[in-house]
Amino acid sequence: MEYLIGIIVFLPGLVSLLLGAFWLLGIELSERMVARLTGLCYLISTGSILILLGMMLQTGQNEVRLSLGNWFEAGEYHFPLLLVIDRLSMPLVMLSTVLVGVIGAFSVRYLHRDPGYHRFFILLNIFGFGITLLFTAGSFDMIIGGWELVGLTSVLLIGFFQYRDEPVRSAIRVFLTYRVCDIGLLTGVALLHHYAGTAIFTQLFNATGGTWPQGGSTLGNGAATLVGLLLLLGAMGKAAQIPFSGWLPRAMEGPTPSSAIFYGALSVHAGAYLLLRAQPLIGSSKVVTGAVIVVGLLTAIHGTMVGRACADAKTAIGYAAMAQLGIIFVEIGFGLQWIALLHITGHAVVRTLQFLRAPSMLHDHHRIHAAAGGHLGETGNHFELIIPRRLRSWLYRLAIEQGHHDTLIERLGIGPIIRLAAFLTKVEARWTAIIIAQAPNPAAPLSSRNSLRSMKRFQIDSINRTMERADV
Amino acid sequence: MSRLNHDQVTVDATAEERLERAIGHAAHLLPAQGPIGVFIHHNTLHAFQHLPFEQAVVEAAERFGAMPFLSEERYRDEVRRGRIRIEDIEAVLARETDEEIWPRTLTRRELRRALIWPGLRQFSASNIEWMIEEEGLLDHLREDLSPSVREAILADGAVKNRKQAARGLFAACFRRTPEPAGTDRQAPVRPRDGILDLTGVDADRIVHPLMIRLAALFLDQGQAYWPMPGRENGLYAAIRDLYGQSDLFAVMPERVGLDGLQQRFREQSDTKMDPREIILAIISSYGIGEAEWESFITAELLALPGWPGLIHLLEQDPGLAPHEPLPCSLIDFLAIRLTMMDVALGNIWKDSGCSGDHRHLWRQISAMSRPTESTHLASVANLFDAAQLLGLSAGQINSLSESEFYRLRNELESFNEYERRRIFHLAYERRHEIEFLAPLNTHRQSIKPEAKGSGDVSERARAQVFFCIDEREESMRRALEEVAPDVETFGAAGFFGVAVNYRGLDDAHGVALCPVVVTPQHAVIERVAERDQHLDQKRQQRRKLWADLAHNSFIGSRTLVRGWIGTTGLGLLSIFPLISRVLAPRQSGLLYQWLSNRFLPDPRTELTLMREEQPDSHGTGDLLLGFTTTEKAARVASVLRPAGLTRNMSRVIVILGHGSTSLNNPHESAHDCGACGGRRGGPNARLFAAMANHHEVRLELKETGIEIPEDTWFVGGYHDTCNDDVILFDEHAIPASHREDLLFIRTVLDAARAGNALERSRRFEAAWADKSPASALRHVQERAEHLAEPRPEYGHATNAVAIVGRRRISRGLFLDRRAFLISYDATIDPEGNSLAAILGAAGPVCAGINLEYYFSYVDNERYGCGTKLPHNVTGLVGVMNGPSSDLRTGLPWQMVEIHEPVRLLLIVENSPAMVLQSAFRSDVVRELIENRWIRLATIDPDDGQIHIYRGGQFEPFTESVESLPEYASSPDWFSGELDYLPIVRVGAGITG
Repeated sequence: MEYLIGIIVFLPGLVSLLLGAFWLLGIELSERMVARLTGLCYLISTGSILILLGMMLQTGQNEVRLSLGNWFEAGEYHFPLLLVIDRLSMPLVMLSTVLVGVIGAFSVRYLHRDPGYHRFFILLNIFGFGITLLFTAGSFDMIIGGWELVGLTSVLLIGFFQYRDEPVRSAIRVFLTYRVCDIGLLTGVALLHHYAGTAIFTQLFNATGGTWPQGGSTLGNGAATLVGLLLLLGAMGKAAQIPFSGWLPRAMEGPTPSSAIFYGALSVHAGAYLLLRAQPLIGSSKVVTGAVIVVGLLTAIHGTMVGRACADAKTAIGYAAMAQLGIIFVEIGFGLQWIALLHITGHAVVRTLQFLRAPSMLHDHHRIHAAAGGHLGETGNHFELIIPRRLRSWLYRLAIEQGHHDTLIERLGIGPIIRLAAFLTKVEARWTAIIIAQAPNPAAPLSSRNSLRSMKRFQIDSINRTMERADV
Repeated sequence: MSRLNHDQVTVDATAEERLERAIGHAAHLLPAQGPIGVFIHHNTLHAFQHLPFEQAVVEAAERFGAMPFLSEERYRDEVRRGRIRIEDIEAVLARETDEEIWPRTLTRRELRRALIWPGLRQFSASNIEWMIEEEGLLDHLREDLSPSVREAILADGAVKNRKQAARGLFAACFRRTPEPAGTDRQAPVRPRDGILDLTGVDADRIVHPLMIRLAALFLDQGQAYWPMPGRENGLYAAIRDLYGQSDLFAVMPERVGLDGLQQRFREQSDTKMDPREIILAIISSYGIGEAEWESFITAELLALPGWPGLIHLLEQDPGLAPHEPLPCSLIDFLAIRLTMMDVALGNIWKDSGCSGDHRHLWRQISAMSRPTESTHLASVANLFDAAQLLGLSAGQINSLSESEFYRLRNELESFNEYERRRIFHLAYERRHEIEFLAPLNTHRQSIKPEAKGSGDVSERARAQVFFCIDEREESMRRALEEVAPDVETFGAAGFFGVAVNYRGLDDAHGVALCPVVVTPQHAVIERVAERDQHLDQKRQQRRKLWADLAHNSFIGSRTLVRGWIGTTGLGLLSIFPLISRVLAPRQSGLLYQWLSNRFLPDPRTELTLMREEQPDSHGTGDLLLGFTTTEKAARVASVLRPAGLTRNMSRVIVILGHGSTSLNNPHESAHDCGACGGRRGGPNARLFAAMANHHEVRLELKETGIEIPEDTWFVGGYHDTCNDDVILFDEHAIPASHREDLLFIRTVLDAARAGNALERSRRFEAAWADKSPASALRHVQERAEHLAEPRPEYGHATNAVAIVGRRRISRGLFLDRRAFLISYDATIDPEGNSLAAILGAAGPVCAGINLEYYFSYVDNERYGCGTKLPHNVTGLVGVMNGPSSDLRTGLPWQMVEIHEPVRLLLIVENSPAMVLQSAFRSDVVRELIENRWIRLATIDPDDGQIHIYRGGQFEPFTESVESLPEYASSPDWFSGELDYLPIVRVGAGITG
């Protein structure tokens, strides 16, 4: 029965490889063929997970493991290919196969005749592979694999309309945020190896037996705090927690079904999953627990506040999701794993439906408005009652500016880096100039663009001088 | 002192007035699309309508950076498909002035003919190097030259082989083509252009995200939970107050690139500057003189046209806002925009280390644009290609005299790409004319003469059905006639003469159901019949309950605490609607319908139609509730008389309004009835029927010569063009004597709508295999309920023609949903009054639809709103791409993708003189015709002679087809075909 896990995880991967191979070979599959392959794939994997569930319930097993040996070994380190379905992965894998299947069915019609149809389905299937791998990974090493595939497909789908500027810019922005936060995940896992010598969940948390949510951490307090905080950083990026939440509205550039599956349903919950998985470790450090709660709480407040000042359908749903993601973090911080798990699944389904229905906003609003007799209760009133006017407009502006997070990141993070880079370029240029001055054949390679710029600047300077002289 | 002040004030006031005028002129160029919930088709280039079409599209293309016609490549594809023939190109060229370029050897016409077909290849500075190095442009002559031309080139004595022929020719062209002189680049119009050029930093990218967010929040009609504070004071005041706060609340970081914006708004607030003064101050600080105001403001607004366009429209007509009327002002928008722009430009200037004042220097950053070698090579390649087309060898090029060469080059340059595309387009339209008019001509000549002189109405028909003139109803009418050859169909503008402000039982407010140019004088309210009052109460209570529930769960799921409880506790339940909606859309639609029928009682209703004669009540300016008998009679007559239905009426006459329902489609309203102002025309049909059934109305009509028999009963109905539902109103009121007629019409309408669904399905790839009418009907029903369907229907995508005339001239022809059909009987309209009324009303509507499709198709990104897939509904007023973009106006690609962009061909069944005389009574129609925004043809009511209006006069059209293919039924002809189909004769025996 453990081989069912293999089917669930690898079938989407296989389909994407197949579609990709045909694409590379220049063989054009019909839209119908792609649709059937994808549909069949998720039908089989949903069937498999249901059978697996039935068998586990029947035998009373809490955990099924599929070990495919080691990928590679290097000295003491080895990379085990271990897939696990336990009480945490089971609902999430079920959710994934069903939702990716539904989104696939939706997209068959939605993307009909779009030139990016094949690309979309290849990416969707890679995502299906990545997300199931992420949820069934038996070790943190394997989580990284799924994590990166999810991140990559997410970015590529944000930039789906590659002939337009904005989607591409947004995709790069999201990619950078992901990369920065992934540093946390990567170093956290590396440190785990350093401290515990392994990244396999059972060896880390259940050395004395039991399955999730039982278990405890074997790490010392300091080590647990450090690793926990790093994992939190990783989780914050994917789950759009503040201050890394600015990417979420930008991610709405992609086609609607990809917004639904990534930012309503699965990808955004991956961060919460990571924390749930590392719960024994997180729970063992007060600092980490506190940090998770604070981050979650602030994100919830931020999300709900900014979401109230969103006039467009998709961003509003995105911020509403962010607020709930914050609460899920808080639940995890308080150790309410089951509630968090229920919250994740329920929330994922609600948001998926909302995203898919987002283009109906007008139609729905019109109907509700008419049914209510032309008068809907005014919203935002209780703010007017509680908060003084000036504070209200201050808060409103904070909401318009999305909490200034992007501004702060640009000013305090990106700005200094760019200035540093500019400084280093200048140093390098001087250094090169010195070397060239000593060399017998000086050739200053300037790109034509730069030289044009500097010419223009020269022109401006000379105009300036002329005018100054005129003034004098 | 006081006098001085006074003088200043007057001077300032005039400056402000002049500014307002400049802004007003600039605003003409902004898109004029209202909130998207009510979509009204209009000519995208309405601002250019005073110019001839061919000139207008090119001017607009330059202004907006858009396409005037399809690309040359697309037209060449049409030549290969046979949709343009060489003879069309030649015929079009024959209408242009000709001249000898080289005496006795080359005329302009010959040259142009060759440049069009086989045609110049596309050479530009960006592709020329690729063409030479990778595609071997110089290694061989063109493949598509005729043998004689090829021989002529190779016959040159100096040529040893073919490769050398090409290289030699290119070398000769290169030698002769002079190096292009450097041209001064146009001075930048906007400071942003100059500074972008210098620093590479685009101020638009700094200003637009904030501008978009603020405009969207300001215009929001109820989507955001928290309305913008202070917006009742207008856009400028609200934003200045938000951003210009002083004291503690000002402590906020500023957006990167907009440092100092808070300070700037604070200053404006302290000095109490008016938005006009702000604009004037900024404009003059950049040294923009009054002569340049308009061009500067235009360029500044066109950088982000959608949002200010809507603001401008709502400023002129605040009533267009669906829920919240707002104090919109384009001046406010411009003041904010310029303030931000000024701040951003200052920062860019500072950050890139430039010294001096950018406000003075921005203009001087206009470097000479030195033509690159590639530009030169591209123009050499043009000559090289032309020489090949003309069969000129290298020797001949070399031996051209200076003046000969100059004339050739001149001709080549003046026949630029836009000109070539224009010729192609005219040829494309010519072929379209022939493909439509020739079968029509043949068909008309075959109509039996005994019917000559009379209207459509011969013997008493089994039933008569009025449809909207909409070209989507063409297939429906044909399907109905095929099912029941003894039924006659008519076309009249879908508001059926009843311009009314209507409030239905379930509506919150009354809405105008009439063409947008008409303001209704009358109101009608749907009321519950006395005995069903209790049902209505129950219905409204339950609807209210549902609304509260839906509204609260919608809002609740987005808030913190309610969202938490909701998603954790009940969230998983959403899996059922999610899966059923996506995997079984039609069935879940049926389920919701069943639930609504089950729980919402359906009371019988009546219309507040009657009004006592009260001649004084006009003065109040309010709407009149109901119509008097005379008013009713006038409205009934206004439909029946032009259509020629003044006698010989059948026992049952059905009036079908139309509309369209679809899910997940922000452009839903664009499929509704244009004649009802982008709304659904069911109530108009119901009202019309009720009026025409009125005994006293009939008596009054009789006096005016319209005789409605005692036993004629009118039935109103509604056709949904998306799911092809047909409902009939007030069936319970139909007298018992007409039960059988009702049963008959119901049966044939059901068969017809299935046939219509089948014909529509031929265009949908997703409908895949051949289907039966029944399964096609299920397919279109599914489309209407499918959340993922970006093309619930194809709307007006096939529109191309409008026929104003009797149905008998087109009945039995397969017109492929291409023609608006307007019933008009010239034989009873000697003065042309009916015709003038029809053309004045329907002409602009049809042209608006046609031109909106034309422009949205030829440049879908610029004139249309691009692909639907990333569309994001904003503020209940429009769509953006993704989270932050301009408001997208025009039609999405999925709506227009099967369109064939030709100007409307208006065919009127009357004599040329009468048509012009009637049409020119309306200035708008006159402008449309004289400036060639629509094409005009006439067909004589007596002998069927067709004339086409060209260059201010009518020319006889004589082409006909030798034999018009005949098919037993429409499906026999279209079955299995996805693409365009020519006209054939279908349904033998139904022609009258």
